[in-house]
Amino acid sequence: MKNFKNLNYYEMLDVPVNANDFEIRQAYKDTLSIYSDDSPVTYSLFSDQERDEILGCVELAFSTLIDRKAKDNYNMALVEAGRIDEDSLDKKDSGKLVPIFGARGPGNPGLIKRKVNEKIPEQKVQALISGIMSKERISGADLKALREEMGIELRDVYEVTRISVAVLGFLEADNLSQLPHVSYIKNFLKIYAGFFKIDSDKLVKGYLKNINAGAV
Amino acid sequence: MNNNAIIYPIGGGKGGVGKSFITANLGVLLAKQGKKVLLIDLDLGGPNLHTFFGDNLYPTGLNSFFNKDIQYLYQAAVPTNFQNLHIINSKGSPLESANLPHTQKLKLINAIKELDYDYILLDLGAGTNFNTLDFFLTSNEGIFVCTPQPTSIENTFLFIKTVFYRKVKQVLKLSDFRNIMASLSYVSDSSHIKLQELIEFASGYDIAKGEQLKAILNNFRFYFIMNEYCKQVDPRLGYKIERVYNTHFPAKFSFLGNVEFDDKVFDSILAKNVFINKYPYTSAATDLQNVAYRLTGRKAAPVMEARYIS
Repeated sequence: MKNFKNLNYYEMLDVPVNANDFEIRQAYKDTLSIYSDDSPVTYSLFSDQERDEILGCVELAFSTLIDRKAKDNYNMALVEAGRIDEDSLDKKDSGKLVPIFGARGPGNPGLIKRKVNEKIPEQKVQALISGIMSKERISGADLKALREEMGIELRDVYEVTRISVAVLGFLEADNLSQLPHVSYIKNFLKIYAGFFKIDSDKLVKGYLKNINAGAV
Repeated sequence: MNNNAIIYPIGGGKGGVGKSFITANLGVLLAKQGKKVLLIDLDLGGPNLHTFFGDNLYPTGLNSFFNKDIQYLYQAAVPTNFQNLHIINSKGSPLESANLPHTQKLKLINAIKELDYDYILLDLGAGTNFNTLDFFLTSNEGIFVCTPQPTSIENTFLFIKTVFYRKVKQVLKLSDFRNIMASLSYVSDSSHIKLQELIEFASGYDIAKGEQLKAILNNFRFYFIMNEYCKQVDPRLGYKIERVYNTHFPAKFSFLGNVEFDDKVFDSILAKNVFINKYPYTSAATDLQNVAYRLTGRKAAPVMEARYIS
């Protein structure tokens, strides 16, 4: 097996060196779809350790190529090492129209879940979770605090749960007038709890208690 | 005698993915391009290539070659209903002939290389036993058939790995190979051996041998076909697999295209007719046609380029 680590970042993502940001994002998504552990293409091909190594390389490649400054530095290093031709860096297609949808973030649910899983064992997060769960009433502000402590954006929550960013915002702001019927809220909260791996029954109870008290 | 026949062994780790089906139809399509084509059924343990052409007209076959009823392999080839297309079937081979003795196997492989045809397609059996691997290594080209099922993709990977492994074993001297394997003994079972590691080690052992090995492996050119493709599957699955093969294995891999699932395939087999002949106006037939075009380097309909549709 060839060594993935020896490829340059463009080869890892399988994009031409003059690719624009949009193309790089698409290529990154494609690459993740090939190397993620539930991909039919490679699930049998790598051990967990190899897969983590490859995904780490892909992550580094993407974060470098998507950052203009880092990309320029990297390109210069490649040219100096003689691994790519300087002329090939010309942005021939810079005037080309690029579709804007899907261009906002990598939006890879697997990666976001991974990030959450990494954060949960942290002591600060654990303390915050047990603090919130021991309360009788749980407010939207508590949820927001927990999310921000974990460094998760509303958009990330949307990518995994598919609850729209607006509704998530209303949930966190206890904005009862904008939220749908309470049965929907219950469901949203259950999904939300599943995402952050907290006790969903307690969350639903505490949250409903809080908004009911506010409404009365 | 023309020794420039292009030999395409058709294999793939898993059974029932359509190796014989692809062989039969590809053979007919290549013959229709005006090429002289021979199909050989090398699935000795479970031959059924003859079923695709109607099985009542074959007086000779591999069997007669092994029995020494005929002296040369070309005498075993019989014409089919299609112009330019011949077949050597192994219908009626003695039971247990799946375990061909080594000498007979070598004799057969050498005889195949001597045959005078434009294309020779070898229909192989499933699995990775030595016979199948050695028949596959008759040529430095080859076609893998897989289906979108994960088990099939997994076994195709395994098959490719095993083919490489077998080649490495053939090139290195047995004693060298044993020494290298002994040095790599920290790897407890051979399924975890990294090919790259093996080659690196071989060049550390004997630089010339290592280079020779690299050259041989890089010289392989493999094709693969995604059979029984259905609409629910990612249309670019084949391209993704092609990319992974090319990134992680030596050798060059090309994806020839999807062949759509069609339940009329069984029908055509029962009717003892080749699918492409009985149902030429189905999308599966068009797919097969495109595969044949791509294989022979003719211009085929553009493969779906759906890079931005995810």
